[in-house]
Amino acid sequence: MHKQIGLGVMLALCLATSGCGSWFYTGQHPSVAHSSTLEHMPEEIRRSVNSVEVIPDNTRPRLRVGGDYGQQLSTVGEGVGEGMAAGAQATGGMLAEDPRAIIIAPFILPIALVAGGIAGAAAAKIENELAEYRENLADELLADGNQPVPNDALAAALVERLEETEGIRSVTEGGDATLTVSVSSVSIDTANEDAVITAFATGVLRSAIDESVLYSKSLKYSESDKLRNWTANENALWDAYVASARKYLAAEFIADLFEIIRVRHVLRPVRSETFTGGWSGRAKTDKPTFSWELFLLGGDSYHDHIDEQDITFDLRVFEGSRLAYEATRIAGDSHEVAEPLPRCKELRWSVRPVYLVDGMTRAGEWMQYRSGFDKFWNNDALEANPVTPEFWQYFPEVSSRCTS
Amino acid sequence: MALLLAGTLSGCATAVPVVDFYDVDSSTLRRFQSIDVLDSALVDQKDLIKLGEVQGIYCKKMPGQVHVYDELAKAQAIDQVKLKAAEKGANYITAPQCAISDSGDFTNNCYSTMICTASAFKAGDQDSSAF
Repeated sequence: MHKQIGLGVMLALCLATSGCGSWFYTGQHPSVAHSSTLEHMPEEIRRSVNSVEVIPDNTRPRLRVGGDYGQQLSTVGEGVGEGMAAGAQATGGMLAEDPRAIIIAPFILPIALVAGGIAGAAAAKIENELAEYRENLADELLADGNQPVPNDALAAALVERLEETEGIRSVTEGGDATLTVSVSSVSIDTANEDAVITAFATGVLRSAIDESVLYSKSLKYSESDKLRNWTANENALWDAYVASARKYLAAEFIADLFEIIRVRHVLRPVRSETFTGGWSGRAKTDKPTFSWELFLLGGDSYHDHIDEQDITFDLRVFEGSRLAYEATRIAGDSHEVAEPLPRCKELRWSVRPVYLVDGMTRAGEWMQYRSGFDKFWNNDALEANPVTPEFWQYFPEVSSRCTS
Repeated sequence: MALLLAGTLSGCATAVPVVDFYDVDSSTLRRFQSIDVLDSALVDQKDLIKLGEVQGIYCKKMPGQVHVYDELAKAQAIDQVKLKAAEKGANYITAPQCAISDSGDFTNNCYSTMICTASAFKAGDQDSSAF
């Protein structure tokens, strides 16, 4: 019905104008801004860098607050930032250079909302929840400050990821290049009772010889949930978010810099005797055989440099954000899981092709739920719905076996 | 119907369906991979069966116009041509002819489009070899 109404409106508009195009735009959220996901660090730079020193930047992340509460938040948001700084001073500097500058953000938000003068039922509702938030906030403020600062934590995650990467070394000094990383900002966008928390990070690769910028990249990591859920279960969701954000951002940076190539392809699950296939499949045994099919479509710069006979695959199975199973360099297009999968769980799984490009190992993108590929290889769709190579939340689902 | 007719007359382009790579079966994808573009001069010299015209569209969903030199847009439109030819069982297409339209496409929600057209052929019984 809605579609019919929409068509009617469009036709009416079409009649009133000489063309239809400009009426169909449905804009993205203004805070969503992506660099082109088709880009990665050029191969000529990759070839010149064999060792990297990862350096955490010494800046602090900024907090941005936005959403559907209107103008109050635009001013309150600034106040929150000031309040965080004041809080740092009031607590003997505990918050200064502390990751809880990020962590406390969701707890400050409801307070800020009330302070910003939200009226009527909304304010009453928020005030009812405020005591809980304040208690959680107090807990956070009083917790010890052992966690590393965000930039240090991200740098550590990058080093860990770098050490798993073929053909590149992590060094503490004397590398071919330095990689300076920072969590530049965190944004909280509210819509009704939901809050989207987004961490933005930047990495800048510089030549060790003359410090010229070889490549830079900005990335983000978002998760959305009910505002109240961010503080539930002793902030479990927030803790998981922080850990996932670091891991994801580190993986994305390294993939973009040294690993990934974007080869035009179709990669999708296929059924086997022990796995039903599809984007929401079911395992028929504890150790199913995952199967998939890859079609290289040609028309890209790698087409003449890849021999399909050389392609292998990496496979991962996730339980939530936890890696439950992994196999690497699988020859062929199926793999029998070697260890029993966790029983009766909704898992995520994926494979990525590993290519040999002119003798160098390069990784393709992880197989993801097709929504990330809406109208395949469409620039606009990618801008709106960027490919996230290591973001397990978009991986195909698989229900593991419940009975023996 | 009257609205549709009026809409067409007032400038709305005819919609070209978009085929999603993830919606087609494996055999079609394999055929897509192997489709050759024919030199039109060879069409009459070989034993081919014409399967019809096929059209492919690149759809720009963001504001602005498709540029005539946008190679990626052209590649996508030609991919659609090849994919539709593959669905028809074709082995060959003629060189696609492409044109830009800025009159919009409300079915595909496009601001501007590049539409490519080609003829699709399959090899006749006497000639199944590649050119």
